[in-house]
Amino acid sequence: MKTLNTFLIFIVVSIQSFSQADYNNFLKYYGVQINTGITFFDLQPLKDNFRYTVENFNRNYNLPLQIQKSYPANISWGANVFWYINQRASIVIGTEYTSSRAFSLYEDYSGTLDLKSEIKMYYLYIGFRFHIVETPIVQPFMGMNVGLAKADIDLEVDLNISNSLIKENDHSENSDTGYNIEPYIGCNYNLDFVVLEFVASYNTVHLEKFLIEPNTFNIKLGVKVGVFK
Amino acid sequence: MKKYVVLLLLGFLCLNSCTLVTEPERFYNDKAYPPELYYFNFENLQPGQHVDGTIVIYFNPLNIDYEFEVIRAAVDSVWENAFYGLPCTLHLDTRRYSEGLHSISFGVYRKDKPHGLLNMFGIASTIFETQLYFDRTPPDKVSLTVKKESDDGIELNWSESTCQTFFSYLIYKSVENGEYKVIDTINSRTHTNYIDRDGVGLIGAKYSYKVAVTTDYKNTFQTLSDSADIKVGNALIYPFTRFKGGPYLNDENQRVFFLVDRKMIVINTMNDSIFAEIDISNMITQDEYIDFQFNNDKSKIYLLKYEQKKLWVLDSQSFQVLKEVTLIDCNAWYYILDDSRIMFNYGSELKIININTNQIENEVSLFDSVYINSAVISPDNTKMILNWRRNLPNIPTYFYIAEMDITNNEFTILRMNEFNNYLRIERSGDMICGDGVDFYELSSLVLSKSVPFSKYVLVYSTNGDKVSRCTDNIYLIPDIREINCYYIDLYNLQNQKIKDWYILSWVRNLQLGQNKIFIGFGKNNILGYSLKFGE
Repeated sequence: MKTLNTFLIFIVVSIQSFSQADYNNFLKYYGVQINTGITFFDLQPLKDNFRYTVENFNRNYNLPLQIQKSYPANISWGANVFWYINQRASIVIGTEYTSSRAFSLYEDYSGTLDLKSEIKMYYLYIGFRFHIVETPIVQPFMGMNVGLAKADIDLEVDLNISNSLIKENDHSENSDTGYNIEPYIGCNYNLDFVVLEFVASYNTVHLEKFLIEPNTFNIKLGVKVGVFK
Repeated sequence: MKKYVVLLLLGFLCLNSCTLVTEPERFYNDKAYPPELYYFNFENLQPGQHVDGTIVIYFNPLNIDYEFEVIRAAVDSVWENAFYGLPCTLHLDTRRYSEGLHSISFGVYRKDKPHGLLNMFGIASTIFETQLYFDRTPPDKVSLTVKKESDDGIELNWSESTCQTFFSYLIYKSVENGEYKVIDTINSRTHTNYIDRDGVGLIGAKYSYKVAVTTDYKNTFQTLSDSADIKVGNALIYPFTRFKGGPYLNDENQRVFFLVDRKMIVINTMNDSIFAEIDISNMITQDEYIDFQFNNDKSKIYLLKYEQKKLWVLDSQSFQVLKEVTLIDCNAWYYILDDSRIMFNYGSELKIININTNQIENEVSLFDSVYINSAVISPDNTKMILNWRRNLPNIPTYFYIAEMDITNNEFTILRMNEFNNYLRIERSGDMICGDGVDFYELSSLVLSKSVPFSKYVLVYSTNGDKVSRCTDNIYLIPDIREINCYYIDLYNLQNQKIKDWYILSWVRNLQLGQNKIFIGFGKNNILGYSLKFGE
């Protein structure tokens, strides 16, 4: 991940240094875009499940386990390709990845007990974007992505008593697929050589088997470069 | 402006160069602490002690000051039993486990376990543990002796057991070859004597004892000692073929006489030794019987063979024959009036015969339809108390008592009174006793005192102001058995019991066998006999 970030920073700085293009977003072009952002999860059933697991240890074994983290907001990464079909509308095809984790880590004189859970979300989508008004530097737009969603959920219980005298590990993995719909609004900021993009979206996810609906509120910052037609 | 946007972009990218959700530090529970293990000495069980069978462990530790949900007892860490309160008692059958050293533990499971992750393994908060050796070696046999400790006690002594799994001594008792039953348990190895005071007063009975060494409280495994026997009272065994009569008590000389076969046997009542055996084969054959009577002062013995009318008078000390006479007349019911006269009872007629002249001195007829029951001669041979009944048609039977003057042969009735129906009367000082119950003043022949008795009196004997009676009874030996016996009591005339005895009554089980009970007052003793003959 750090390598990727370094690479992107290198591209941005390089482009800023060498590119003198004065292009307008509303011209027809095609290009690539890289997004990163923060995903705010709505995972109440999953949080309840993790809390129930912890409370079971509290109740059954009188262990004062605490929920230290319960699926907080986390970063997301994505990439897409786009092309303008006219001066204001474009088509986007992309992918996105985000995740979050929950922790309850315990230790006493006899050993350690770690409860860890992680949810990973993968999206593959196609979208339509429409620029609302034409302004020189900041151009607001709105759009919607629709695509396939895949969720991986892991739960790991790791017990270690008396320096591995008793060592138990219970690891469960579950996967499910579904679809997602992600309406969003955002705006472009034209830096002449690249275009920065700020997007706020709400991603509604429907999975086939899981009872959870890992909907997310996202804030994304994107960088896109393209080629004029 | 664009420069700032670029910087913002760079900052955002740096922020997102790693995940926001990092692994937190572990929470450390510093209030958890490990369980406690104590090596515990259970009551009566020392560590390493050899045990066998089912053992009882009483568990009540003092240092449990928390609320617990359960106490689990375990053998070699395998759960055996659960308890929910203190104190608790574990009954452990050691035979369910292999022979050898085993650990016994009690785990106290606290309600709010503070042992951290070990709580997940159901570990006890406090464990009390000891080790015991499950031993299958059979217990050893002890050597037992018994002796009379006192009139009401039999003392048992035995050798100390060397059994490592010793739990207790069991005292077994049997009476008259009956079933052995446990009468007591002694849990101390060094306690090797016992005095049995329960039901050991049955005179003549054989008491048998055994002592077992057991290895557990259920007495599952035990080794019995050889039996040791003792008899209460001294039985005198005299071999004979045919019993002819007795006992005849001479309380003046502490002698008792028996007639067997063709002999007269004299036994010293003070030491149960045979004083003399007098050959009377010149008087009777093996199949003949002869009647035995003392005179009033018991200085002479009268032997009468009434079928042949033969009478012998013997000195009761030297057993010399003083007189031998063939009587002019006689029957089986006679009384010795004095040295020269005897009186025969012919129902309603008394016949006085002088044995010196062999002449009938007089024949005294009483009233019509009179049947004489019994008679008693006064010590000075001057008076006779006579007891008879009179049966007349259509009126009730009357019983009478009369005193007669026997100084001459007229037998004048001095006094007469109505009487009760007694089988036997006996003179006791200045009173006449009927059947050991009613006492009549000799001077007035009026009922003076009664010593009532609810059961049928088999025999009785009086002496001054005391009466001793014998009845059939049951001798109860606690938890062992009930035995048919004779019961002899001694009362004064104020109806106060002075003492009592139980004498074994022998079982009539042989063709010649029969039971006989006798009571007689001696000078200083009451002589009570239960005779067994025929075997």
